Amino acid sequence: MSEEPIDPDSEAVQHALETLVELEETGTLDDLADAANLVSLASEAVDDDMVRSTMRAMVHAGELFDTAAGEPEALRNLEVMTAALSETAPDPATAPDQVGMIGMMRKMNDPKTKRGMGFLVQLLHELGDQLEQRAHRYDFETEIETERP
Amino acid sequence: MTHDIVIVGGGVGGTVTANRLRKKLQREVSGGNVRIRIVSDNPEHVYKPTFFYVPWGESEPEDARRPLADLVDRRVELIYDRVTHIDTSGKSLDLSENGSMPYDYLVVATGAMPDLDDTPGFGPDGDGHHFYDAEAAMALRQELSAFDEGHLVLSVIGTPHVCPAAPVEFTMLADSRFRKLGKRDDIDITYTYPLPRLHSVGPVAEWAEPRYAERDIQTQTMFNPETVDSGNSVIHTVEGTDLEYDLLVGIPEFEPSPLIAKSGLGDTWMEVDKHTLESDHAEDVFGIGDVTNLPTSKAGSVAHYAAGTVVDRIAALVRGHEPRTIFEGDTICFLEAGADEGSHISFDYETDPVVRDQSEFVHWAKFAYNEMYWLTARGLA
Repeated sequence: MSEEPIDPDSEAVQHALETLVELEETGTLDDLADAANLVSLASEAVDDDMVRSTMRAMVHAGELFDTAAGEPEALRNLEVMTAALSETAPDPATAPDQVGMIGMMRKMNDPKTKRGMGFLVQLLHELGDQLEQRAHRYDFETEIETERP
Repeated sequence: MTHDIVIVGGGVGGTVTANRLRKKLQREVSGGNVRIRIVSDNPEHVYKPTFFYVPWGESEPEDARRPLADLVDRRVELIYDRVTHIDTSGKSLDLSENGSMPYDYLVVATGAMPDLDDTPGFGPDGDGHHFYDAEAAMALRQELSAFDEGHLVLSVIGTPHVCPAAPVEFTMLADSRFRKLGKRDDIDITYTYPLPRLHSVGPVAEWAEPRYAERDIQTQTMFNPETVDSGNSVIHTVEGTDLEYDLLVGIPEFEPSPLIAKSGLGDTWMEVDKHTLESDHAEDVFGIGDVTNLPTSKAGSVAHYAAGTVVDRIAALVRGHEPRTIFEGDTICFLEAGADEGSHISFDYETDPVVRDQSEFVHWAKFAYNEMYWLTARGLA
């Protein structure tokens, strides 16, 4: 910080005053004073562990959001799944009737059920593929493909 | 044709570059026109600034590590191997275990390592301590936990070193911790620096001087250790002075991987254009982070900001445009002023460093950033 005395007529001081007057006239200064009290409270109440543990939780949430942001197709599929979940039992207290083996065989002739099965079977396939790829990424001895694709 | 982008190194620079390249070139990667690969000889990503807090019991070594596979986008290939040579004319890398691999664009982010064998006070006969890896930080924790009286010397023995603020911070933190424990009257603290002032960055030296005086931290400048007699606990300097210690914490000199000189990318540090970050000696080769000879500090923030420039430039080249983004030398470092307050310093190639007033909020900001770092590594912040 500069040790030089402040010139009250300087451009910087005049500009700062203008800003302050504007904040006062718009009522923002009162809001800022209230916010400052909150900051002061935080300063008294917060300690290193609180900062660390809160940030750690926020970072985990941030990582989840980042993953979701990188997988827009997964989000669209998730929307399909959540819509289907809502329609399956709009009131969870009155869930669909029980279905036995014969009922299930009968349902298999329903074109929409067949479509859902197709989705689930493909999901299982992709799940297996991802598990295989992950295992490969965590296998530190894995040999690499050196040829260009 | 597929463009092969290869990144050597899985530290701050390498990880951030890979993740941001994947985001930037999403269309090309999804279409199979770009392949991004990281080659790292360590399957774990290590965030080294965490080790600074380990000696004080405020962090654990495992807080500093995560598997690379947890941090790097799934569409970036991970290759766990050591690069033994870079053939810049043939545009390929020799790997220790997996033959060779081609590249179209190469990013070298291999960092800097402490040269303990050639730093007085370290090596097999030395009893100096440091905090640049997990094992050393834990050994220092052991020493500090039993240190009730005597002379603690923090000596910047070698330059350049990574994280330029760390020696100043360590000294201030030691003072603060010993005061809180009620031991400060029985412990003398001395800080030594090899130049005629307390720090190579002028404003940091000016900032530290009155604070050290207030805290009764002794200082010795133009102090260049030549040998350390660990048997008698004495440092002998090139200038002919001696300094006795009971506990020596030394800042060793850092050096780049020998891969740089062996591959003709620089005599010691990787020589790059300070704005484009392109190698002075090879086409389509970029350098970021501590491995480079950039005229700024060896700090994580430099690697982080430089990664953004390299990503933009490679993306432009892949898309057939003229790269326009340049690196301005942006650097920002936190500066802990004890256990409860912190400051920060920022500068670039054109702007002189400014040390801000210390406050509790900046101290918390440093703590918060150390957690937030994992988002940075993912290319998010």
